Amino acid sequence: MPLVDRVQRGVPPCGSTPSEAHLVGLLAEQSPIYAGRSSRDAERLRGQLMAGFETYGLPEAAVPIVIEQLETGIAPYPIAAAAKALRGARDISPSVVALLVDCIERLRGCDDVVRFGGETESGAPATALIEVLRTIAWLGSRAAAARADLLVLVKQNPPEFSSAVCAEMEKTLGAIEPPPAEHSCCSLQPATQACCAIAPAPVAVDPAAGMDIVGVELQDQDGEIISFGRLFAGRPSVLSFFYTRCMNPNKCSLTVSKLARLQRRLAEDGIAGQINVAAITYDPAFDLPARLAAYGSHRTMAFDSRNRILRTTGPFAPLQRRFDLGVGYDANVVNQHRLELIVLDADMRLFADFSRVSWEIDELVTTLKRVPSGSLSGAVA
Amino acid sequence: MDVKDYRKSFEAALAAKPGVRNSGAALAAGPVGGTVHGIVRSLLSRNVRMPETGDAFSTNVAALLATVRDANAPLLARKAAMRALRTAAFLAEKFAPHRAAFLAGMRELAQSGTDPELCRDALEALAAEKDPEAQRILELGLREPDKALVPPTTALQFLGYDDHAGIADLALDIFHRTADLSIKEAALRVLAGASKSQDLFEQLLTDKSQPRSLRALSATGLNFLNPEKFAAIARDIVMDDGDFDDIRATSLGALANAKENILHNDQSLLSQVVKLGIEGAHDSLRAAAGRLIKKP
Repeated sequence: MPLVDRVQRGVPPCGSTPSEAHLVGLLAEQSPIYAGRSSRDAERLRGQLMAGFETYGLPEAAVPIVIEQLETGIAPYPIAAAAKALRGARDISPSVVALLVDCIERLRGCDDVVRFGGETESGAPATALIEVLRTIAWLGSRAAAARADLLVLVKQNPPEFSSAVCAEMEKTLGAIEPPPAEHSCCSLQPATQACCAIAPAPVAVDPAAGMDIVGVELQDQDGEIISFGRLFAGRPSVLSFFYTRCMNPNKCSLTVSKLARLQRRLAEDGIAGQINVAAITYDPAFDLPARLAAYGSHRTMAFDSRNRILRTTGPFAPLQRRFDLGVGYDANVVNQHRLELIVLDADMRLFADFSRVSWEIDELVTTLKRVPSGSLSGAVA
Repeated sequence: MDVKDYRKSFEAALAAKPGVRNSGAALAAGPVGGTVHGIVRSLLSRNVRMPETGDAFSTNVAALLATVRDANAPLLARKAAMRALRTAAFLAEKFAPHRAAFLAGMRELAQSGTDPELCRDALEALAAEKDPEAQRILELGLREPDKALVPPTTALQFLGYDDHAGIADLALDIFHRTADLSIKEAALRVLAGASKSQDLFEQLLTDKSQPRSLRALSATGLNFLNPEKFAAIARDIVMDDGDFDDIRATSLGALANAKENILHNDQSLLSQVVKLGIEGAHDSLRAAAGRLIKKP
């Protein structure tokens, strides 16, 4: 029986363990296994695959995917799946504790029972909050940093959590007692600390020029038609992807809001006119110019010839292929996507890739100032 | 039917329905007893609000949940408990500790064998949460009517709560297969979220032999999906004195929201809009004409 069928039916993949590469490949949002499924269906299947890492072991290549889910997820099922996946890690930074505590905050008002198939335990089924707490408990003393937050939560009156969740919190508190004082480079450091970084750093990964898409026709928020090549050639570009019907406030809406902040920062640094800042929708048939203009301006994005929010006038597929974008579709609309922001050089080559990363403005500006070209003359630090 | 007429007939039907106004008394007379059903009874008979203090709220929610799940409890009590729970669910912060148990309870009820009204309410509560299991049940009922737990119009309505439910193709198929106007209408409402429905909406809107309700829904749908495309059709509709007023009002609205003011370069349309602004048979038509005339 194919792995995906087994996962859907809750049958553990007994016999041979699936290869890490195969499993990680199935987590790509654009994988054909999700095509045509509703958002929730795709989310569930992906969650089942992700949760399987608790059993098979969490491969390094899957860590960014799991972290992205913990950082940006809003639905109980995928968050619980990511929390379970962490428990398959051989070596994971305790800095994930902060992410898990954030997840508790996000799940506070939307907890739900989660089932991943193959559960044998008796008693009440686990909820997403319980799965997150179990992962914190699994981290043991490495999660001691969460104690203060959990103590506040568990003592709330009236309680904001169910009695089952409160009981799990008490157990978790017991499991994360701090060890006797000893040095750990990772103990309470932020996730970006070099010794235990878990977020993928932006890297130059594309040696080839993007000539195959220069002719792709784009339309901006004012209805102006311009080719990809004409818009992006000649100066570095920040290019992100989004769609206006995205239901996750931690993804598209936040991305476009952060682009607006980036615009202001570039203006402060005196390099605004030398860099293109653009966002292209995954959903060009729905996101017509007026909708794009409203979406961008409501998030304080400013528009001019270097700053635009765009749609393809034809199919989106060429851009998806060119940049290997992590987006999948049901029969009508996007069913899932990852965070997606790239930096192109003046020749439209990929200079840095911030996929799956909740990027920071400073980090992005620093990267932009490293883009090798004459196009930032005088302004590059 | 006009909305006002519909409201009147609905209110009349509601007033005539036995037990609606006196459900509390009926429940009190029944063999309910005990604290669990007592809470429901008091909610019904004395029209009390859910207590707002934490402990009492929690106790009540737990009791209501127990009642609604209890197949041996009187049906009236279970239905009252369901209504009270769904009301309590609006108090999101206070309800949060009970949410997982509430959804689990709704999943128990959303199956064949449950009282149809409770089953419908449970499916609606789950559909509002975009619950994939509820969506699967609703979709299955649309594909295989013998397995349907709710009528197709209700199933389409509930599935329509989620733009990402992925049922556009199914809704289109149902639209073409069914001869039932109300099901066609429900399918069009779902299709209003699917970009690829634009051609269908255009076809229905411009085909004046189609039922009024389908053309009106198509006008709204096309205006939502592609206002420019709709504006191109809207002029002809506004000019046609034989067309329906509600469709013409929507068309005027589309023209008023268009980027350019079409009236600047179209004297005959301007005359028509002025006429409708003065002589239009309905308020909505006159108001829509007025908005377009005032557009800079």
